[in-house]
Amino acid sequence: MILLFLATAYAHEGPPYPILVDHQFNDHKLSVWADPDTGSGSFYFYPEGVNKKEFSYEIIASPQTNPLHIIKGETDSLKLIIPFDQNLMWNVTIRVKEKVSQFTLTTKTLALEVTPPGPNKLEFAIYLVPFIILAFFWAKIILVKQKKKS
Amino acid sequence: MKKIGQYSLFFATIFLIAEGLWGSQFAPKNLTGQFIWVHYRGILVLTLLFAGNYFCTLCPFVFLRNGFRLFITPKKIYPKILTNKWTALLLFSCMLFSYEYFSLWGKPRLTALVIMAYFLVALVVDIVFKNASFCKYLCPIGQFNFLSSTLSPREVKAIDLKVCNTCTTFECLKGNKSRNKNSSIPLRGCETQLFIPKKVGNLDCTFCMDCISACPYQNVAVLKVVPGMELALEEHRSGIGLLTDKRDWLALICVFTFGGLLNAFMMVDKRYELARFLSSAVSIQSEFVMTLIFFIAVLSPPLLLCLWLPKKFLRLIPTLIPLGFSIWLSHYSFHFLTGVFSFIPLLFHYQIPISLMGVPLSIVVPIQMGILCFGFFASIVLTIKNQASKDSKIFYSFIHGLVFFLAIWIMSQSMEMRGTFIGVNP
Repeated sequence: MILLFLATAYAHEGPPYPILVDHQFNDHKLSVWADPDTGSGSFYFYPEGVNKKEFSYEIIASPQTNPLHIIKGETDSLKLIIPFDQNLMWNVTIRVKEKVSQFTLTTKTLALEVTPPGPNKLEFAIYLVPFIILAFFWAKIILVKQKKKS
Repeated sequence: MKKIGQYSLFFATIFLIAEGLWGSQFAPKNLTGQFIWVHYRGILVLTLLFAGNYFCTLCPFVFLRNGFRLFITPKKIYPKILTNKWTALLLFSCMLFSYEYFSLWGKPRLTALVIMAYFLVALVVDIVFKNASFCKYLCPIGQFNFLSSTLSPREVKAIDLKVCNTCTTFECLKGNKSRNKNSSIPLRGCETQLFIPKKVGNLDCTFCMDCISACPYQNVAVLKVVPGMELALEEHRSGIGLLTDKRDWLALICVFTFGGLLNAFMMVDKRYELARFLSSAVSIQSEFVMTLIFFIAVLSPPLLLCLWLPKKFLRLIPTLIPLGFSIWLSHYSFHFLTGVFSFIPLLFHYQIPISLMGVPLSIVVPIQMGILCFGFFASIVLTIKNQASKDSKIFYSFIHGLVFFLAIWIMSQSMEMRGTFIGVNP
């Protein structure tokens, strides 16, 4: 049953982590959380200050080993998905623009480690083995002790 | 050592109350939001699994009331009609409901106020009524710890029962005045009325170690036991009786197990889809009513069964505990392990690599599923080896299978990362 659910188990994503905290620009602050998995790296923007709803966000990413391979994404909302295609260190540039004029308000570049989305079936099976062994020994001890006591 | 731990946890709690009241109200940047809803709960379940009910030992609420009891001696006996688990069950359900309805994980100030209310109630109850009335009959966290600690590897028990058989003074229960001549404070006996020679397992044991200090023969200690062993045998328990005869306890076990399922379900995206569907189908706009519907739908069927089924069919309810605990454990340890250090950049503005902020998902997810499998397996083994009727065994095996199936499904869904990340909706 576990393996049946394995495909969907990947949907149980890990938490997005803070990659940028209180980045100051004009009278605003921006914090960004990211869950940079291969396939669908998600970015969440948390602006603070007046007119915080007037921004759009752009992400430009390239692997550190191959700067010419560029993946881009842009959004008016507060969430953006970037389809990372390799588990490597990437340079990620976050650009905040004015929604209407598209004027760039601030730009910040970070190094970001893109991670695999979850365990593959083999890893999953391997990690489950200790639990199976433990469960077997636990049951054996319980049954022996139960027999002794009764 | 106990005193140091109690002082530390007490002052840590005071600090978290202050941080909750006056710190940033953006939960991920607030220590109260982070530590209460992610770290405390994760460390609590892991401590219960690997050590024992040591969080009750260090309880800051009891620490405060002990301070007050130096000046005020409670005179009253807790009302007999309330000496059961029904009030605690209600409070436990209310706590789960409040967490959902008030979105406590995202509200540090409200979290701090809840802790303060907890302090106040514990204090008032225990300076009015004798013994540990709050711990035994009211405390929702205590009930959670009692049930979970049936799977703990340690227990407070007699080292040698032969020594107990020669004892005529029963200090472990009554306390020991002669041992503390230098002070006017007598050494307490067990305040939850557990008589050590007849004590079975960890239920109702707050690990306060009072019996250990009170025993004049040094015959009481924290000893290693096989986790879950107490669930494999039906024995008369001191201070409780036969567990399978106590409908209040059995109902509490049901709420503990199904509450764990509900608590996890309320965080997944399918819950929101279901809520949207229900709200459009029956035109309910109230968040309160919607949350209540979920709670009633999940918790009332097992509770009603507990109340109405004949006793012979209730005998196997305690076998739900391993499965129930595994649901809480896999859920809380997931949040704790994946976000263990994610507060560092937020609180200290020091960026650490993502791989250092938590345990990788490729390890945490199999651990989570492994815990659930173990819980299910343990529940099934306890069911099969019970002396109950074959029909009962089949019925409960089906229930275990259903709960396990639902738990696996819920843990496989996209889950809100409450505490570490509250979603972007500024």
